[in-house]
Amino acid sequence: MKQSINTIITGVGGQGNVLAAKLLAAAALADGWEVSVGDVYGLSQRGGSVASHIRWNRDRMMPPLVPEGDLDFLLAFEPLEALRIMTQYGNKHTVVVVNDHPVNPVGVQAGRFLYPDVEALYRLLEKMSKKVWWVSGTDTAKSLGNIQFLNTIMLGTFFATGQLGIRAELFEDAIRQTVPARYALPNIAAFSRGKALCSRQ
Amino acid sequence: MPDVRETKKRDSSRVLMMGNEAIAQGVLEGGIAYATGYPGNPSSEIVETLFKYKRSHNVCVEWAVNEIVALEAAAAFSFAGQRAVVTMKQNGMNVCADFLTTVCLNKLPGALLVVVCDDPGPLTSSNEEDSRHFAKIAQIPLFEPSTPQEAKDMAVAALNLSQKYGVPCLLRAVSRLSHGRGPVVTGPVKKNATPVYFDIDKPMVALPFLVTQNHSRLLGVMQAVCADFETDEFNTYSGPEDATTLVIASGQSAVYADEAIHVLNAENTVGLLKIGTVFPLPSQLIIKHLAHAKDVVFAEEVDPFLEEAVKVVYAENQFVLNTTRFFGKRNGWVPGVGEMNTTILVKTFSRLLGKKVAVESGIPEKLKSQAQAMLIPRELSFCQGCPHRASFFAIKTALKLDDRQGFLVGDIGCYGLGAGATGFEQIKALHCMGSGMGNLNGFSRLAALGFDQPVLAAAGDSTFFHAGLPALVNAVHHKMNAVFIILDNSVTAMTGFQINPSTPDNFPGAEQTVSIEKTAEGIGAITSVIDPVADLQKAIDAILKALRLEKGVHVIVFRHPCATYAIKKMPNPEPSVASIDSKKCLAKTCGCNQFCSRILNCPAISVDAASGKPCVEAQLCTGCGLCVQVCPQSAIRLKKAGDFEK
Repeated sequence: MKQSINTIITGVGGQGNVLAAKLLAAAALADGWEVSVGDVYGLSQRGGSVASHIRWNRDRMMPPLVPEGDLDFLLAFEPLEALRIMTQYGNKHTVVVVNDHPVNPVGVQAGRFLYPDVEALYRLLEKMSKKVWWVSGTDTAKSLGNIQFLNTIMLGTFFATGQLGIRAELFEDAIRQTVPARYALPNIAAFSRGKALCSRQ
Repeated sequence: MPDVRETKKRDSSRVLMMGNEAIAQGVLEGGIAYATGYPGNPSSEIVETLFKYKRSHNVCVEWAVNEIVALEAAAAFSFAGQRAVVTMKQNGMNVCADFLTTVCLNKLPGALLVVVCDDPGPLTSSNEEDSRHFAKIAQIPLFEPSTPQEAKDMAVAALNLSQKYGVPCLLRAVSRLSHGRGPVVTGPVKKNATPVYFDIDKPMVALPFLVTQNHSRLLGVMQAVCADFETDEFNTYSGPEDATTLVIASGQSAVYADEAIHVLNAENTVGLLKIGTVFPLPSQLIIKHLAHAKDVVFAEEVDPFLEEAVKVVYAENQFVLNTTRFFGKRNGWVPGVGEMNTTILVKTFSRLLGKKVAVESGIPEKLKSQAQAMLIPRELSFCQGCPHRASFFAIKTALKLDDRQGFLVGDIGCYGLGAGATGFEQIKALHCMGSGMGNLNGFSRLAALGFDQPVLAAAGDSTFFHAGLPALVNAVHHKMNAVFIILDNSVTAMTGFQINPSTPDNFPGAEQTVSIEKTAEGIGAITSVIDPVADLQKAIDAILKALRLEKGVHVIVFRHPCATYAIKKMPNPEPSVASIDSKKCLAKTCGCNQFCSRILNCPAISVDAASGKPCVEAQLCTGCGLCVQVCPQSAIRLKKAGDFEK
């Protein structure tokens, strides 16, 4: 019996993963859900795999980790990390929203590994899941003049695609309450841009 | 679904808090006057959070040089009638245990709370020690919260209990709780009105002739605490009154157990007894529930601490209890190592209940293996511009040139990654704070047995003051021949860039700087200070010289600030970036084995797939200039960041 909506936001250290999770959880809380968040990161300060588990349900406290194979929504800021999380936590009902811009691991940069073929990775993600939204998040962030907007753009698309059960205006409130005032409006604008990216697909 | 959400929407007092933030809120509500500790994942955010309230709540907050100094300082507040908290990760308990196991014998006029954050299935630790044993060793009350709300509430309750009985209390969290977030309803912050006074007629001493009588008093206190715990609201039972299958769980594992029971739709058959006050174990409560249980399963992290305590209660009361079967870590029904999760308990419970698991089956094996073929690792590496990259390159080169099978021993911190590819696999022994420096004392004595491999020991700046000093004194005192390398990056980087005694006083938030080189010189070591990033050759030469000189104790301080900290807090007004002249670069035909990209493993340098030549990602490059120094073709130059595109 399913007890909660299970979401994972994943990416690479420095992509704004933890803040994205915090904002999403704050919105869910404001919408009256019970919320539980777990940030999973290892030793590295930068460049390592990062995943935040965000779970919400009506009436009971949940552990901060999504049980393996029980993922409902995956928001990935990086394709390889999308595959990594999907393999461990996903199932055929998972809805995936993924940024199409690969970030090379240091082993790829150094020439010790090859980054997997992105087309093949995409097809595999499609086979694994219910639906994949392939989003040009990094390019959109660059067009807005700051790569730091990637997380709010992706969250915009995420809100527009999924049946998250959280009202988008509460998410905008969460931005206003969490982000320093001078960044709040640009982030809300980035969130709207992200929403628009969904309707184009 | 009705009103629950509507009520909660109106409840604006619910805030989302990280477990560690909730503990910080709890100790404020509990009226602390002092908070200290030593940084260590997953505990660091408690003191970091309290720093924000230092002024507004008039609390003294500071990082200590190590855990035992922290605990001793905090205890002094309780000696003077005040309330204090000290925080650490599990390894820190070992460091402060000497004091903890003696101060427990005194009746404290104030309150003393030790918060320890364990790291089961470690994400950031060199062991997965279960700190709960220290409650038993010291005979002090132990609280184990399962949610951020409970963490906050227990911090308040533990401080109150500590004051009531004059005994230190231990609050034990685990990584998932400390770093997890959940809704917390906060309460008012208590103002501390107790007079600050040390009663000289009641000395706080643990002298031999007082020990047994004080120990006896402590055992009496623990009996009283146990009586309180029998009815404590942190111990809850859910499920049918007479459930024959009983889960006894504590801490984060109680929430996993709750979910596993729910997943299996077994709420009407399985009872869940959540124990929040784990030591001393409320035995009457346990007996009451054992009376209806035929099968008992334990859910806890990491050791069978609760399991063994319950079994003792069962053995002592067997004459009034039915025959009960136990399932836990001791008979392999629950894994004895690593982190707990819902999936583990679903498997254990369903096996016991003979139920089929109704959870999502995940990704089919065939697709999983296709994915695994694609999933290249995202390896750990030093950040771009990290001074450790230069230091380990210097160490590696010097040991190679020395050519006597020499090696490096070290310890934990960012530079612990020096045991892996990013540090050229240089560290050959790594355990706890300062362990390499201690190991070197012994290695230097092996010469008497004909051991002729040179050994270097590395430790970080904060580690040098935390645990390295005694090892250095020992080496000088015994006239050893030893080379210590202090990797001084000015902050305690791994745990979130905390200020430490070596932090230069022009850094934001820095206090009085304690000089590593003057300290080492004062102890009697031959000392030098080098910036390995600015002059790699000089760093290599210094190690070689010290190795070949052989006589005496050498301390080489490699000093260069943490690059990631510098970018965050002290950005260079005129940043530069490396630029590779593709005409000069001979790539694979050079014979350099691709020093700049393949060997240095710098995140800012990648190899262009088409040309096979390295290129710099200007956005990432910090302009440290290490690659400039290693390029045999002099193909790399530093340019002003703005000029890069031209």
